[in-house]
Amino acid sequence: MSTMLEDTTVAPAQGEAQTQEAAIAASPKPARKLAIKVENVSRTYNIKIDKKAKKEGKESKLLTALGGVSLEVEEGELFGLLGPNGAGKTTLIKIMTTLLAPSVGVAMVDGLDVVKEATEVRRRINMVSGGETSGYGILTVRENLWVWSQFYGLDSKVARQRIDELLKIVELEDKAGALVSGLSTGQRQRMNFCRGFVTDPKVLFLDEPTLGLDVHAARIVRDFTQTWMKQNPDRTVLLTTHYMAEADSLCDRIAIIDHGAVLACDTPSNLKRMLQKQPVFEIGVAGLNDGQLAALPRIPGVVRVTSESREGGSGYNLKFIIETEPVIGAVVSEITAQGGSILSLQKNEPTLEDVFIKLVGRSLSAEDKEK
Amino acid sequence: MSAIIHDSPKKVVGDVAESLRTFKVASWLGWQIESNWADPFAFFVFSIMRPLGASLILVLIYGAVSGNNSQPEAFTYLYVSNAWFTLVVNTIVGLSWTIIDEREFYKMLKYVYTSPARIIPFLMGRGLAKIVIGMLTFVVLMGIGIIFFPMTLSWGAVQWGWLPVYFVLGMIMLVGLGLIMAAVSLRTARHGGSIGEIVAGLLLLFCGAYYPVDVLPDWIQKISLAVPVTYWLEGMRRATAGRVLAPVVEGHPSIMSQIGDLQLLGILVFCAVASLSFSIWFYKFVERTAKEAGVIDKVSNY
Amino acid sequence: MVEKATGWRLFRKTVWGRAYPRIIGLSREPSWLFFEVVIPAIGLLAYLFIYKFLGGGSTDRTQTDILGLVILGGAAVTYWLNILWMMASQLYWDKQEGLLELFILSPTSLMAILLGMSIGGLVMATIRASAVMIFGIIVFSIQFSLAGILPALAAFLITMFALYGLGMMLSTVFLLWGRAAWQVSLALTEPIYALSGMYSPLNALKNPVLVAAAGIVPISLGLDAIRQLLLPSLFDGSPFSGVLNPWLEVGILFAAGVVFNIAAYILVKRVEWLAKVKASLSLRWQ
Repeated sequence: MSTMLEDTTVAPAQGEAQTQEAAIAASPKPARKLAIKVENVSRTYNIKIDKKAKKEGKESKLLTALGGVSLEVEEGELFGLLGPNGAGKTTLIKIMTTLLAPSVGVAMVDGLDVVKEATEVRRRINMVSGGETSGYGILTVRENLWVWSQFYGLDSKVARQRIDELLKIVELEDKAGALVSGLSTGQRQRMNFCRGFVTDPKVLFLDEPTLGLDVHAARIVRDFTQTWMKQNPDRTVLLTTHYMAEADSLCDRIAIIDHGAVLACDTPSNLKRMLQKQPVFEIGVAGLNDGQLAALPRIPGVVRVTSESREGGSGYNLKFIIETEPVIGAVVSEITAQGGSILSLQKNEPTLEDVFIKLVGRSLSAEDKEK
Repeated sequence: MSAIIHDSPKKVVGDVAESLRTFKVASWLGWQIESNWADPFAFFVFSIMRPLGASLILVLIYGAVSGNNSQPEAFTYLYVSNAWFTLVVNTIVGLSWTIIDEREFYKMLKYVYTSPARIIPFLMGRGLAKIVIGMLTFVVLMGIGIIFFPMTLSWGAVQWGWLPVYFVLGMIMLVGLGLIMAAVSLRTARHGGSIGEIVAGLLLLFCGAYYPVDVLPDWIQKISLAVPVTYWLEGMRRATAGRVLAPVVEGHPSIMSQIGDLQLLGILVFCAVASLSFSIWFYKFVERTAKEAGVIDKVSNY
Repeated sequence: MVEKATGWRLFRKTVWGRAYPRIIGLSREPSWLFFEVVIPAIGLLAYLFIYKFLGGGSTDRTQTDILGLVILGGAAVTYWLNILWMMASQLYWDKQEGLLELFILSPTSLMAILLGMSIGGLVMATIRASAVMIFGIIVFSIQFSLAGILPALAAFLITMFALYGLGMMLSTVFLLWGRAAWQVSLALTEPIYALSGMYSPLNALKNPVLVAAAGIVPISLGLDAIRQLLLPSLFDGSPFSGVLNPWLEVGILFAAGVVFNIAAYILVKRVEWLAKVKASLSLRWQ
C-alpha cells in the first residue's frame, strides 16, 4: 500500500512552465498543404419503420451518423481516427473516399471536392479495410493485384514489378502464384494491404489494417507504412484502429470521435497531457531510512511523493510528481547523495486509452466485453 | 466424472431431441431466408412464377405441335406430371442449394459444422421452406390447369387413399436424393446455379415427367426404369387422375400400365428406404472427404 | 507518383482486367464442362421426346431438325443464364463480397467494369454454348444449313450486342433493388424461357401482344432469326414458322441494342449517384 510522504514544500508555481515538446508544438510552422479537409460535414439517414410501428403511430426517425465534423490533415501526416463502434469513423472514411455523399458540408481530398470531383479524387487515393476477405478466389494473388492495378490505369509491367516488391515486403512472395481461395485470413489481409499500395496513392485510407494479423505480420504492416511515409514525404495516411498502442506509436496526430462528433484532435503527447500536465516518475530505491525519505518532498520542483514497500521488503517504490522533467535529475542526485541506491527508474504517462476513456466514457475493450 | 456410455437410451433420446431442435430452428431459418425479402403476397407470386413458366413452355410446345388437333389425354399427362415434378425440383434443390447458400453467400456453414447442431436435420430443415412452397405451387398449377386448359380430370376420380401414401413415400425418397446432391455440392464449386437444379433437369429426360418412358429409345428406357422418381410420378399421376394416363403409346400398352397399384407400392417403399439409407451414408462419406481436403468453408467466387 | 492511364486507355485496361477472372476461371474450375454442358445437353433431349410424344417429328429428318431447334434453344439458355446470374446479379453479389466498394473507389468507370463483365461473360457463355452445339451436332447428327452459317453468325453478334446491353442495364437496376431484384431474376427464369421461344418456336405464342412483349428480351427475336437461317426446312410454315423476316428481326435487335446500351450508361451514372446519396452501396444484406 502506498503512503503519502509528508509534503513540506511550497505550492507549485503559478502558470505552467512549457516543456520542450510543448515549445516546439507551439512554435510557428511553415504552412503545409492540406491532404484532407473536412468542413462541417454531417450525414443523416432516414430510418425506415415497419408497418407495425406505423400502425402504432410511430414516425420515421432521423439517424445522425456524423454531426458537423471538421478536420484538417496535412500532407505527410499519419493521422489517426479513434472511436468506438458506431462512432462515425467508417461513415467519415466513406465520405472521404467518395463512397458516400455528405448530407451537409464539404470534404476535400488533395484539394479536390469528393462529391464534385470524385473521379479525380479516386485517382489519388486508395483504401484498405481490416478483416477484408474480398478478392477473386479463382485468381492467384499476383493476378488479383494485377486486376486492381488495371482499374487504376497502371502499366502492366510497372504493376507487376510493384506487386513483386510489395509481396516480398509483406512476406507473401511464396504465395504469389497461389489461388486466393487457398489463403488464410491473415494472408488475404496482407494481399489486400498490397492492393492499397500497388497503385501508389497520394492519400491512403487504412481502416483497421492490422485486424486479423498476427504480431509479426502486424509489425510488418506498421513498419512498412512508416517507411513508405518517410520515403514519400508528400504522402498521407489516415488510419483507424482499435489498437491504442498502434495509434500512439504510429500517428502524428489523432482525432477521437464518438456519436458522430470529434471530441479531441491533437498529437498523442498533447492528448495525454490533457489528463496529466506534470511528469510522473517511479523510482525504486534501497538504503534510505525514514528520515531520508521524509526529506525527499522538500527537493525543489517536487510536487508530491508517495512511497510503497517493494516486494520482499528490499526497499521502496517512490512515485514523484514533479513540476518539470529536469527536476528528476535533482531527485536522483539527492537520493544517491543520501547513500541510497537506485533500483529502477520509469516515467509514467497516461496512456491513450486513459484519454479515450476520459473523453468517450468507456474503453474499447469494455465495449467489446459488453457485447 | 462418470464415463459416457455410447448408445445408451438416454443418449439416443438426447440425439433425437437435438436433431429435432436443429430441424425446428433450421426450418424457421429457411423460411426467413426464403421469404423475408418481400411481403407474403409478392413472395407467393414470385415463388410460383418459375413453375408456371415451366408449364407455359409445355403448353406452347403442345400448341405448336398439336395446332387444331387437340390431344387432351396427352396434355393431361404432360401437365399433371409437370405439376408433380415441381415438387421433385423443389425438394432436391431445397436441400442441395442450402450447402451453396450457407458456404458461399452467408459463409455460415463452418459455424454450423462447429456447433452441436446436426447437419442432416439442419439441411432438411433448411430445405423445408422450398418443399412447402413446392406443395403450394402444385396446388396453384393444378388450379390453373383445370380452369384454363383442356384436361381430362375429375374430382370424383381422385384416389384419396393412395394419394397420401404415394406422396409420403415419394417425399422420403426425394429428400434422400436431395441429400445426395447436397453431398456432391460439398465438393464442387458454385457455377451460377446448383448441382440440384442441374440434376433435376437431367431427371426430366429419364423419369417420364413429360412423356411416357415408352417414347424413349430402349437403352434410355432401361435407365428410366432404374430411376425411383419414374415410379413416384406414375403413382402421383394415377392417384390424381384415378387411372393410368396415356395407357397406350404408339399402339402398344405402356410399360407403366402393366404395373399394378400394389406392385407400385412395393417399389416405392423399397425406393424410399434405399434412398434415405444410402443418402445418409453417402453424405457422411463425402463430408469426411471434404473435411480431409479442408473445403467445408471454401468460397469459389469468380 | 507512378504514371497512371486515363481516358480510353484506362477504360481498355479496366475492361480487360474485369474480363480476365471470368475467362481464366473456365480453365481453373473445369467441372463446369460436365455440369453445365454435358448434363444440360442431355437434358435438352427431353424436349425432343416431348415433341415426339405429341406427334411432332414424324420423320427422322424432322426429328433432327426439331432437335436442332431445341439445341439452339439450349445454347440460348446458356446466354440468358449468363445475363441473369453473371451480369444482372453480379454487382449485387460484388456488393455482398465488398468488391463493389473497391470498384467505386477506383478511378475507372463502372461502365468499363460492366463491359468487362459482359465480355468475360460472353466468352464464358460462348464456350459453353459452343460445347452444347458441338455435342449436339456430333452425338445427334444435327445438320444446319451451310448457307445460313454466316448470316446466322451476323444475327448472333447483333443479338449479343442487344442482350449484353440489357444485361448491363439490369445489373445497375439490381444494384439498388438488392435481394428483391435477385428474387425477381430467379422467378423470371422459366417464364422468359417460355416467352422467348427457347424450347418452342416463337410463333407458338400466337398472340401478337405476347410476341411483342417477348421481343423485349433480345434472345427471342435473335433465336427466331437464327433458327430460320440455320433450319430453313423446319421453318417452312407447317407447323413452324418464323415470326418476322430474319433481317427485320436483326434490324430491330440492333436498334434495341443501341437503346439498351445508352440506357445502361445513363442508369450507371444515375444509380451511382443515388447509391451515394441513399448510402445503399455500402450496406450488405440490403
